[in-house]
Amino acid sequence: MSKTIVYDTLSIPDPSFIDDEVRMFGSSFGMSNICIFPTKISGPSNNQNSSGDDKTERNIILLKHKTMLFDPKVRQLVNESSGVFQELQTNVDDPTKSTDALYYSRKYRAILSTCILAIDQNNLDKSNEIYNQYKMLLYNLQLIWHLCEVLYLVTVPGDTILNNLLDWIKIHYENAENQASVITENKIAYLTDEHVEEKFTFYWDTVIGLVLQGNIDTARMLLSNHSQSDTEPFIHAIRIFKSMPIYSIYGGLPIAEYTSRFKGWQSSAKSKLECGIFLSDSNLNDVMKIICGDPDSTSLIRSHCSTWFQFLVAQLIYTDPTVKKHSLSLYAHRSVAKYYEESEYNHMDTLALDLFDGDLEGFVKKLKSYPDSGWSSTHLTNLLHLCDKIEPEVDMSEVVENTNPNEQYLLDYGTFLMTHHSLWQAGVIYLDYCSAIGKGHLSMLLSKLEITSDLRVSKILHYATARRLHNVVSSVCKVKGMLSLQKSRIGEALCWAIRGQDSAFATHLGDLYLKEFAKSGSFGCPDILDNLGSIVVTCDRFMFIGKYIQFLKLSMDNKLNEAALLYIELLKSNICPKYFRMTLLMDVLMFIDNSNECYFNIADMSLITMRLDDAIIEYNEDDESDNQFLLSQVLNIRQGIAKLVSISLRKKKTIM
Amino acid sequence: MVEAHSINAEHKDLIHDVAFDYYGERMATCSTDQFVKVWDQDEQGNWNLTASWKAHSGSVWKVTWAHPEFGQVIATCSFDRTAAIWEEIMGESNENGTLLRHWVRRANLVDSRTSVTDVKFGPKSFGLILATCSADGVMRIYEAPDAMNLAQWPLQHEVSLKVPSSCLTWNPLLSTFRTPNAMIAVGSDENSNTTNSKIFICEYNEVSRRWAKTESVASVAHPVHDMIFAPNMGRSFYLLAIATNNVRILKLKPIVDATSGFPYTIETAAQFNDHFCTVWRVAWNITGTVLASSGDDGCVRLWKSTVDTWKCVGVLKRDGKLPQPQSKKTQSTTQNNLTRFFKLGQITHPSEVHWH
Repeated sequence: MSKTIVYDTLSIPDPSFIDDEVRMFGSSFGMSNICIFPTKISGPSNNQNSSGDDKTERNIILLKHKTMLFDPKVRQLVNESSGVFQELQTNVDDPTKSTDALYYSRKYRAILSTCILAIDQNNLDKSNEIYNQYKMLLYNLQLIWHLCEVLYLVTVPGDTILNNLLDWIKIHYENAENQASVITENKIAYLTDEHVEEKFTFYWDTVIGLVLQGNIDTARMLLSNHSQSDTEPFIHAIRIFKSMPIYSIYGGLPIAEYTSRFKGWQSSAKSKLECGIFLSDSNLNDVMKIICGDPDSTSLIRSHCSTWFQFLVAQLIYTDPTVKKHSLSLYAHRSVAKYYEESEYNHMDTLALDLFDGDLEGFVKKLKSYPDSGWSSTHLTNLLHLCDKIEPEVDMSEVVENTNPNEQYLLDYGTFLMTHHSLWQAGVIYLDYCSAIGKGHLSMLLSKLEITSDLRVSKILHYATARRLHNVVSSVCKVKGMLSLQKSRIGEALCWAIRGQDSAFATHLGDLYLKEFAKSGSFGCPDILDNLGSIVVTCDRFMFIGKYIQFLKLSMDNKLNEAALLYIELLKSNICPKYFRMTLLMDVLMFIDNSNECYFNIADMSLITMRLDDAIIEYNEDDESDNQFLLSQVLNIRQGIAKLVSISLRKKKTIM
Repeated sequence: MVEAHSINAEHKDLIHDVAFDYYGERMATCSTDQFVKVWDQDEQGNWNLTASWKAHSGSVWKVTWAHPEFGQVIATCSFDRTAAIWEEIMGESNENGTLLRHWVRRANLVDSRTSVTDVKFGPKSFGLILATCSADGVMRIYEAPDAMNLAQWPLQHEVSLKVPSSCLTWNPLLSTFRTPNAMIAVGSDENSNTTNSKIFICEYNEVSRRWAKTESVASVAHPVHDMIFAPNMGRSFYLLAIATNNVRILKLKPIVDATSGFPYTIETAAQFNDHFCTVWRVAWNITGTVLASSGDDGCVRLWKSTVDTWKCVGVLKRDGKLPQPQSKKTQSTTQNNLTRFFKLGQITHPSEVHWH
């Protein structure tokens, strides 16, 4: 019955694939792109004869999926609706806030209308085929959403639904009303005694259009503008129009009384019609036939309705004005059958039918395949769930077990948004409401976002930190650090290591710093090293570097007493990396000056000697050539120690 | 709608593999012409060739990227019986201020005595680890003990499977299973008429600290050309896609409280015969929900899992027609930029049904 497209076929027009032997290999890449490339299947035997003059073009083809929601003009739809979505979710959890489904439904529809307007403004001459299509998609969506709202979210006392349906039809099919105002506002015709019905070829179409929307007052006004309005048939018609009983829920008549009044009114009109009062003007006669609910007028009504639901509502006005919601299903099916000669329903028809049938579950399921990448199904389904209009789906996918079936559509939509370079932040909002599995997706998708700009990296880190996704933070920082390191920017890399609290990476960078210092005698990036922060606590290497820099500063400022204390501390704790030990021991020479001051006691000096002996043994064990210089310094160090010992012995003597 | 870029790969012979980095921003290609090329996407979305070098002395079968946490590193494997690890180095900037990049061989893995058919880095949580398989049926594990030192790649383990191996894939992490053992599935394209199993599962045993073959999958008896585990996003089981005489998806579910034997149940989750011929490649999308399969029928088919079932959501067909002339012109005028654009119209998204 319904036309469902299972899948689409895409032909790749490329000369690389012209050869029949060529196979096309495909793979996914990035967030949602597909790559295909041509190749041939060859056994391992014949693959060595690579001829250098092969001029065959081999094109790799990269396919990027573009959808409506990614269009810059439609993006506001995504962003604004994510705000409403979030507000709704938080209010549901908060018992003090009201969650009026109708209010939120209207909010969503307002966003849709704004988006349609924005598209219109960018496509004033309607020349952009894509925008025309988008507009149509969004317009249809608004129509169906509004119908859902009218049938399920608006509460109607007594279930007499017709007035609501009329409101719905009037908003979405405003052509008749627009034309009517063109006619009535045309004062010239009125003043010059021109024939309105001749001047405006659409005069009668407009009258019928208004009558079919139950807009009797405006229709009557048009009739009184007619050149023949003072003739008998028109006077009668206008009188009938005027006396039509209008049903109103509030303060009006009880249904039974209204019905009898309506029937009385219609039968008096019918008797006038049957007398042939209106026969002088065939158009007027047709209008009166419609008003009398004459079965002959069906085909006329049909020709004035562009959709079957318009047709349905038009018929109801004059056949069953107090129709109840539950009998709509029957009327709807009849209307469809009458409206279509062959049963060729499209997506929209089945959606509307499901709504009239009261099959919300079926509707929600079908809405999933609406070509708006899940925007409508996500928001409308969510809204209907939250106001308990539908039960969650029972048949849950086996593939994604452990998920709340309520979340599947949020998960899909959130994941979809995350694949877009600028909509990903909206995607995060939806994944946030998907419990554990959403977190899994979020952590994977966040770390897969390209980290090209620093602004984006800080946004990613902000989102990850707020959600306690520490693995994402450390991964992103490590990748950034490695990229800095690749460019030999060690200071920048260190900043990333600190940000990611990555002590293993920091240790590696610390080694680079110390080796550089051992070679050149100075540290690069002093400003970063002065502000190491917490990395000093978590990373041994930087604890050493921090202390060592402090030591260098003290000795530079000639505070040798304090420097000596720190020096001994460094040697005692033994946190100095192996390759740096000799460099550290050489610093003992700093303490020999002309002041004949001794900064160490005997125990300190034996510690220094012990560390020196250890270092020599270690250095001899692994014979790397660059240690040769340091080994040659051993003698100097020993002389230094001897000097210090002699100073201290002399001192002791004087004290004694 | 689909926007397509066409890039002339400039390889002088057949392309065997195209691999993308973690973010999909860099692309590496390899070919029978023994060259490996690296392409980078710029801010405008154009792909530019940034490196091209002769990597091996035989056809280069596969190329694969390491996780960017380990730096810019790729591995290649070749008919010349070796696999190699390459790292990108940035040199001094040239007069234009752009950094000069080039790739250096960090390690040459020469243990195989036959053509090395596949190479894959393990999941980053296992460290910097690499698996290769070769035509003589040996699966080898190499590991860099210090991830910051790419020169050291000692061979850690060898598992002999005794049948020609064509492909391998590492397991992803599972959501519910407490840290699973490292696992590798190896496929064989042995083309004999035997009904021997063509898929072997090797696992790392924490106790014996060894890799060993722990299971052969009996249900697949035709030559296997490609295999890949689905990325895991919250699943409690593995999905293994297989390219054989059809497309097969196996489900490996951990057995709770398994004390001995192979700790997973294996069942076929889906099987698609739509290619009606040999399938050569399978590839998952980022979330492991859409599978792309490439077959002898010249089509790439896309499969998506819906509630309980898998269905085809797209077909890419080759078509030897030339693209529009104006795109030809852009190609000839820009020497460095070989990217071409052409529009392919309304396509591929399964739900793009139009009405009214």
